Amino acid sequence: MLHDLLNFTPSEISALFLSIKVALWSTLASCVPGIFVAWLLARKSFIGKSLLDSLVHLPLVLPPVVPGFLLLILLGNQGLIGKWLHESWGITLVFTWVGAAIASAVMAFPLMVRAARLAIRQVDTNLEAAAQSLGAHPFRVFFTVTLPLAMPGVLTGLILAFSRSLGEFGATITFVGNIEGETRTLPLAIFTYTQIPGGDTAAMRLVILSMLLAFCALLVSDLLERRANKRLGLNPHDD
Amino acid sequence: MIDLDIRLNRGSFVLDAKLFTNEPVIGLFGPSGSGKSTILAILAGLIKPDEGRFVIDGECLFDSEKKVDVAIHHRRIGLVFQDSRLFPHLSARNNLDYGLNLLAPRNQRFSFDQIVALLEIGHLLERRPHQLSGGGKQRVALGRALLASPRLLLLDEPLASLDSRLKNQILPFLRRIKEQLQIPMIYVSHSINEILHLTQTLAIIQAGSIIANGGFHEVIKDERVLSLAHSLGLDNVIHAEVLEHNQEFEYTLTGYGENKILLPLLNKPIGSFTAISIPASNIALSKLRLSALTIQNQLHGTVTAIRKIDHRVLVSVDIGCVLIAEVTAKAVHDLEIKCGDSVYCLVKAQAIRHLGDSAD
Amino acid sequence: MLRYSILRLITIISVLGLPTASLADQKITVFAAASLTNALNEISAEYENEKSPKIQNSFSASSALAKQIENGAPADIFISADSKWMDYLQDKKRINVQSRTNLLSNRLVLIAPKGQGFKAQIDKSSSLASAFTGKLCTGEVESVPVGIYAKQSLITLGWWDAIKSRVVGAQDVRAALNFVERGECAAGIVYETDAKLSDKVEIVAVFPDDSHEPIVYPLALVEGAQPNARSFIDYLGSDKAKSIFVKFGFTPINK
Repeated sequence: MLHDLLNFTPSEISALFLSIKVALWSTLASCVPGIFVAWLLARKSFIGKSLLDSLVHLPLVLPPVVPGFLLLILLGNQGLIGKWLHESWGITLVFTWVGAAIASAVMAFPLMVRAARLAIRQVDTNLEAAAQSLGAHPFRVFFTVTLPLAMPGVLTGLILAFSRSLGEFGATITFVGNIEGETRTLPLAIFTYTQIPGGDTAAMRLVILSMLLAFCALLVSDLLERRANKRLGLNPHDD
Repeated sequence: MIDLDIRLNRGSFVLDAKLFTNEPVIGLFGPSGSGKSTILAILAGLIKPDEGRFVIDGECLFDSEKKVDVAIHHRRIGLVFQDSRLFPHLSARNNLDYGLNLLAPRNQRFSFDQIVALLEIGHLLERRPHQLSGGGKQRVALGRALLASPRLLLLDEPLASLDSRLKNQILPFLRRIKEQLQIPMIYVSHSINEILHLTQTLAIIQAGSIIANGGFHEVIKDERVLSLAHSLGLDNVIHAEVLEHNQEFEYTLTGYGENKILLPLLNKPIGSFTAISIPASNIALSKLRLSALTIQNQLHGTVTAIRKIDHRVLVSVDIGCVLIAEVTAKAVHDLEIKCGDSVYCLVKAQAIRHLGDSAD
Repeated sequence: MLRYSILRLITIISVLGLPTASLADQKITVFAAASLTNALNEISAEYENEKSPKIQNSFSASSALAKQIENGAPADIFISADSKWMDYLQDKKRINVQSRTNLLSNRLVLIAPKGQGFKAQIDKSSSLASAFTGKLCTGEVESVPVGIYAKQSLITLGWWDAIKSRVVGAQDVRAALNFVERGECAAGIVYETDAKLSDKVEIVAVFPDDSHEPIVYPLALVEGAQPNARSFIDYLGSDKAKSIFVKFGFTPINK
């Protein structure tokens, strides 16, 4: 039984690497927009702010198939934007890992924004004002003062987004399907195996793998956060 | 040169301040909530006035009519606060460098080494803010603001969070900044002692308005200022020369004009000038020089004014400089004290506070 | 007095309990291949008009349904889209072997989004891969019956190697159909019955019956099914039901 559990087939390994690839790109893609939106919500007031806030949080509260379906309508080859992408630029997103990364990015976005927003809000605005009084342009203040000080929270947001992407299922399967080697990430692979009679052992293997990945992500997150807090002279939390 | 005329309305608090001065260093003095910090914040650009204008050194930084509002990072106004506001993620060195690095070399008025030497913070450079003492933090904060070559330095109660020992440590540095770097400053405090240590030029603020502006001794004559000053613990500040030390009886003798003032032993070289202060309520008056008295100081002078403010009576006595003594109305009545009278100011040596190096 | 009230209470509760028990008797649960959705829903409605037990249909890929039944899902009747999954359950002794019969047959077709048809000749000499650009959608080729049949046909015609990297395997035949309807897939392989249902696709070609294993829909009682489930099985063999199947394009198999 144990031997079975460790005997990964090539398609299972492929699901693992695909998952990591999709999650990495998804996190990278939502990094800059995520921090920007977080900063907007944390520091600025403007008309439509609560609308933006709600929009950002939608993927958190909607069943994942809904954003998946919306993505299909928007970015499918016949979609509102996808059609233009496909015909003018030859870009196809549906049935590709890029599409899977986009689906994951959409679902993980609110987690990224929430964590980053909290972190930015906690940065003392007095410090930002002090930096400006020393001659720093607001952009420079953001990159040299705000962001470094918000880094522990931002890192947490990134890792949360990464973990969420690893586990993304509903939006992925609705938007880009379940294609081995291309969009069959770990959750989809597990699902596939549970749907086929005789696939239980394989499913279990992948379940254990997923749990290990999640643990690792959380450990790394904790480590990074402690280190960042230490550099800021804050006491590392002893939970 | 500061030319200020601004109004700000925040519901219960209304600021309507006018100030015009050419003095390089000016103290802004007033009770808590009077608007001192607000004025500094407005000058720095952190708060926008509802209307008005102000001009610093000929450059208009704000004018509500002409829609001028120079951005904070273009104003070149340095800020030092009660909490040092050092960047916690940077070393002391990098904090100091922050503004300096944003200036082209030709615009850098002071060099890094110069300021570090001036403030004696060389040994603190590699530390992080959380590893610095309160006094160290404030000196680094001062250095950081100076290295950004400000055209004006605003200090908002910079010593308020330090104990008196540290305060006395830092005050000399502030004077060094004034004397050696010759940089214009506005020093806000609710402690007149601190201000007088640095400058004799004051602007007095109360309830959002600047009620007096000028030299300490002129401003002090204004009735409104006097009552205000006392409620904040006005002391008589004298810059006296250290004349002699007596180790056996542990006292120091200082001189001001012809007066000799005795106080507890100071660690100051003979011949140096030092600032001492005498609380008005610790001065008793006598028409005669007394003997068989433990009070060591009897300073002879002439009564120049007697004022009743609230329920207190303040008698101004000119001993070479004007001391203000607080006595009871009954005493004035019983002794028939009037202007022109010759009196002695009785001051216990214990009551005299030493403020540190002399400002002028 | 109290004893009488308690007696009354017990009577009321038992009476209330009865209808629930008999209601449960009356519901027949059918697990059927996705391609049977429309036909079976209509037949069930007709059945309920005439008889009393209600029919509850659950449609999905046969592989998924077999898995659920294997794990004890409360189905009374199982209709698969291929023999493989019925065999599988038979091996696991989850079906009543006596009741097993072949109910229907179907045909496999090649479809394209409506208005985007292309020429495809069904023989080994022509190449499907070069007949169109884009993806080919069908069921998951390793598990879902329509996908298994599709792969068989593609291999028989020598088209598999060239096209396999462009094949998108969907959950079940309806999902595959959906992708083609949307135009996300340029072509698809589904059952003739599914293609006929949709007005958003057109049939480009029909795969010959000998290019794949015979498409057979076996039916059986699940082990432990309710006795009244047989009445629905009988109804499925009636003329009324057969005419509905035919209407949708299925071919009833006469035993």
